[in-house]
Amino acid sequence: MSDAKLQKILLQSNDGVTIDVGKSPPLDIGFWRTPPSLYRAVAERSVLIRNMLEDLGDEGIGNQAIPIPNVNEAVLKKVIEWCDHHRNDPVQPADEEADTRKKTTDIEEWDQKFMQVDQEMLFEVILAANYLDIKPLLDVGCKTVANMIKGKSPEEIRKTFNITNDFTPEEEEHIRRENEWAEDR
Amino acid sequence: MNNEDVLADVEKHANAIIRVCSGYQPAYGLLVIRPDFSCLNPVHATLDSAFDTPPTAELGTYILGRLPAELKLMVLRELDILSFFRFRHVSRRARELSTGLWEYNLVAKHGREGLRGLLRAGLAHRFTICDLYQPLITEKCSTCDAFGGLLFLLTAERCCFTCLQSKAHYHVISPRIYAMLSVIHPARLNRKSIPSLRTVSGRYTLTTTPVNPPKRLILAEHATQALLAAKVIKEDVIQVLRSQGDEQRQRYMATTLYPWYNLKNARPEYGAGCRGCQPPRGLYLDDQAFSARGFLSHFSQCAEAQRLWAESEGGTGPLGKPECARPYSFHSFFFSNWLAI
Repeated sequence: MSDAKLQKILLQSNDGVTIDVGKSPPLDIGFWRTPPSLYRAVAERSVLIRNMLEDLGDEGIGNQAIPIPNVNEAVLKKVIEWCDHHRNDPVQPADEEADTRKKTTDIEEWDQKFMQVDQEMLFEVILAANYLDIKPLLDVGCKTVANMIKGKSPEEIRKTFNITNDFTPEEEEHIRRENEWAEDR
Repeated sequence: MNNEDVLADVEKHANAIIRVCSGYQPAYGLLVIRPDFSCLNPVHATLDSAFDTPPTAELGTYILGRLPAELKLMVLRELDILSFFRFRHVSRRARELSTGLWEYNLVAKHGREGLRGLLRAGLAHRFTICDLYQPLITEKCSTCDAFGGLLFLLTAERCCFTCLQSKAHYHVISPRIYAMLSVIHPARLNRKSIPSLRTVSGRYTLTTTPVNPPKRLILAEHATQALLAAKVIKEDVIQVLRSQGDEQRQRYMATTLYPWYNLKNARPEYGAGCRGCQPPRGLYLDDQAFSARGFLSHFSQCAEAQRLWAESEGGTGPLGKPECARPYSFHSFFFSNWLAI
């Protein structure tokens, strides 16, 4: 990769706003300019963008913005913020089994704060992470939703997500028996 | 028979050899948490299915209901078992969705005892469905190379009976005894919030007098690590615990039978003993269980099993039996019922 040629990576959200990847504060203070390789590291958290960059080649990118048709500005900024913070993370092993054993509760502190947003934003971030193929961000999103279910009774879960209870009395009776089966001493 | 003949036989008559020479259930099944082998229990029928009536409502209008199906499943995969179990009781749609999770479906079908074991022990909130799925599809004991027919509930690990009995890793102890032997106040141990297992009633012995289990059990290793890190106890306590606080039967109270689900032929295997090695009479607890595959490699080394095979005339003649086959009255009754589910 020729660093000199690659100046920046621009993404264009679906509402037409062009966003400069890697232009977040810690990387652009005073004389310090984000080196081009870092632009890549941030953008390449997304497998979709990485593949696109590979296909286009360095010349192809130039100063052209890459359109991201499914994501709006606010969400794209949020996602880039996450990518920027995690740009130096080791690439996740492709091995599926390695992450199935991982404990669920371990969302790191920064990510927890990052995910303290309203349900709408959380929803959009999860969809964007899925679309842009950013597996670790998708995991954090799903864990955050899972944490909204954890430790709650069925009634509390219904309230949290506005779910209607459509069980018939016979089904309720069956559920009672299932609980007995699971609690019996 | 020379060795080559044996190997040729194994290749040619694998199924017949397994039928003739292996098959009885090792006695340890009687010692651990008793499986619910009733085929009439209606709960078993619906554990891995949704209700017949189709859902009338979606999963709400909030975030969960709006996510695409595959992302909903990703969320469910992150849930601990207790929350997952409760989620199934939310609505018909929730039940339908959770039934569609492959890992859960398999655990509910074949690893039911592990599921129930964790729920009854009050440990379900510590593990995810995948934590239970992983041992289900793993054949070997997690601390040795043999077939493991058991699930150790405190860590959700597959283990074999030999390791369960002998390895310090599986040393369980009641918190009260632990505190007594390490000379600390029980409250100090409680404060460390060490995972503890609620015992369930059962026999846990082959003698006529049943054992009264303590209310709770903890893993000695967990407690020792936590207390050593906090510098509350010293290293020498480990020796004391091992020599005085190790009651074998308590290990059985933290263990349940758990089949191995063979993904290759889509069949669960409970493990079977070798009839050749079967001791003459009485219930011997040194019985080793084999998977079908494991048994065939054992067969090529077990002279007694090979003799049985030769006597059975290729599996067609009257079954060759060891001279003093032990009658497995209660034992075989128990297992034939249990396996017939």
